[in-house]
Amino acid sequence: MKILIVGAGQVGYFLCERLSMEGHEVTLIDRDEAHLRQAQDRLNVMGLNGNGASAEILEQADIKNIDIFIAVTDLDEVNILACLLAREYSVKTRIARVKSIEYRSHGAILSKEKLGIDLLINPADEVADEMINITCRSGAFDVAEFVEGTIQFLGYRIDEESPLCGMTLRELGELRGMYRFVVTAITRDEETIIPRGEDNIQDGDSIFLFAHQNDLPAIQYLLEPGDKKKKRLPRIFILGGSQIGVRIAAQLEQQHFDVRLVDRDEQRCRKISAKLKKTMVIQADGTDIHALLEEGIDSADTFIAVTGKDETNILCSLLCKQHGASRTLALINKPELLNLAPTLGIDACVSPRLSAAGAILKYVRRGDVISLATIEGSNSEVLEFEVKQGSAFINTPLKNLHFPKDAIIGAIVHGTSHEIATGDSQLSVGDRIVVFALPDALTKVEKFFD
Amino acid sequence: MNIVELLDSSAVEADIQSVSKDDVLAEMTDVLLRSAHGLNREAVLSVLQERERLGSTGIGEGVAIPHGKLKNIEQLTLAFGRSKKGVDFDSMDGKPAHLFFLLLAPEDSISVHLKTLAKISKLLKDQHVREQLLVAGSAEELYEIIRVEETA
Repeated sequence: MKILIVGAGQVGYFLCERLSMEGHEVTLIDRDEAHLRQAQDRLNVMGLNGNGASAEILEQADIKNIDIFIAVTDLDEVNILACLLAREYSVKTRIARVKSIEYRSHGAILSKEKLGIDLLINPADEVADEMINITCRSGAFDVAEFVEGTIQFLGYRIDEESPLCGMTLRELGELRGMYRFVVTAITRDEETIIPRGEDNIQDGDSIFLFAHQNDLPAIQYLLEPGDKKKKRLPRIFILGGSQIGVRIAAQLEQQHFDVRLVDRDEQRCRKISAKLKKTMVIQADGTDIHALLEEGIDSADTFIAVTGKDETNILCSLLCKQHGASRTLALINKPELLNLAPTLGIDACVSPRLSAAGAILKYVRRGDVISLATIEGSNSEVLEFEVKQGSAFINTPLKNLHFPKDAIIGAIVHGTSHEIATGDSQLSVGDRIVVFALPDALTKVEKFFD
Repeated sequence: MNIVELLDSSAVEADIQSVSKDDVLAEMTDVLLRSAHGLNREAVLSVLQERERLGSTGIGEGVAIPHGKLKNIEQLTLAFGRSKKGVDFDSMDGKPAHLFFLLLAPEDSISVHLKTLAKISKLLKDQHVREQLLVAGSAEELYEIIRVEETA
């Protein structure tokens, strides 16, 4: 497909990287020549210097033949105007990133329908939603949902206390009668593999598994270390009363979490208190550990740092972890820090860039690929497909198919029933399947199901 | 660690009488208590029932492996029971369960617990083993079959 991207910032660059790698013809427009050159030098994209909201530049970019138009500059107005122009040129799919325009809530004055834009993405909302998801799944640091939420993809970090530490994949397979999940990937020392048979799970690994939502309670019982069970409401601390922090607090207080939001600005605290119903708002500095201890940080189940500064988020996460917070999530903007933070002991790092880009990719590729998640730190992906009439591989046991190496079928949903895939599983027309693929295998997997 | 090292021969019952899921859990707990004297019956039972609420441990083909974690026990403890009539255990395949392995683990050694659970599950997936266990005459014979087949 022909894709035109306006804006060579973090999101734009990431999208160019992914979409060009998948064989799409990508053109990138940016006003900043340095940014543009960087992308052109490293990626297989065509660059065009200029204003993406100008008809002249868009015509130079052959807008009339573009299938997908994505505007992700730092300016909302430019993105929206560019999309309006794209509509005039009859581009079929139009996507814009917006930061400050409220369009989701009831009563929002502007909506994507009014603007004629197919998808409006707000990185702050995306990142907040991702953090809410992670918080709600205790123990997991990465979560994605497939087949309308029935199949869950979860990431867990393994330490020597973890029940799974030392288990081989074969042993886990034996447990499948009672614990229906499959470990599809292990990340160890920055390398991601698809484990098989005698591969075992080790201290320090991150593992990624698929399970059906109905089987989650049993699996969480299995994975939870013995003495951590508590009767009280899970306690969440949020540092930073920005749009992201408030959104997370509002959602979590609704889901019966005991939420405490910390911000150092008195005026902001007062405003937030008025917006939130049950959340306790605390005026304090994130590094003032004495104040946080007084408020009970030592018994926090999750500490979420979402201030505007990566360094503050990392530092305060580590500080609170040291003082007893069980789990820490940090908002990280800089790509360089995104890979560093987990090695420091922060349980999950979420980046607005990856969240927004992930949501855009998911939208762009809904065709055969129904939904998709990107795994932090690696370019591996989880893809969902629907088995179509006439596919060559129907009714053949999976073990007899030449499925791409470096990819694995995780779960199969047949109508209302589901199974964790084994070598004996078979696919039928209409089945929805969820596949984990390492970067090398992505295109092969998509071809396989084509 | 082998299954027979954890399974005391006194904690094997060849003729489980119960016909309901709750009763079979209670009866199996009594079988377990024959070898693990110090345990609190009610505590064991509530752990097992709590686990069943999250999803049945009936894995199909007539096999169920009720299990749970308990504080204050020293090591992994097992019991085995067989019901000739079969018990409706809400198993995956809807078939009644005949063979029951009960497994109780200390809260702090879940890893060993899982490895043992995997071993038991593997042993009972073998149709040949299940058939022998179903026709064996006595508790001694059942114990012997487990001992021999596990090392086979």
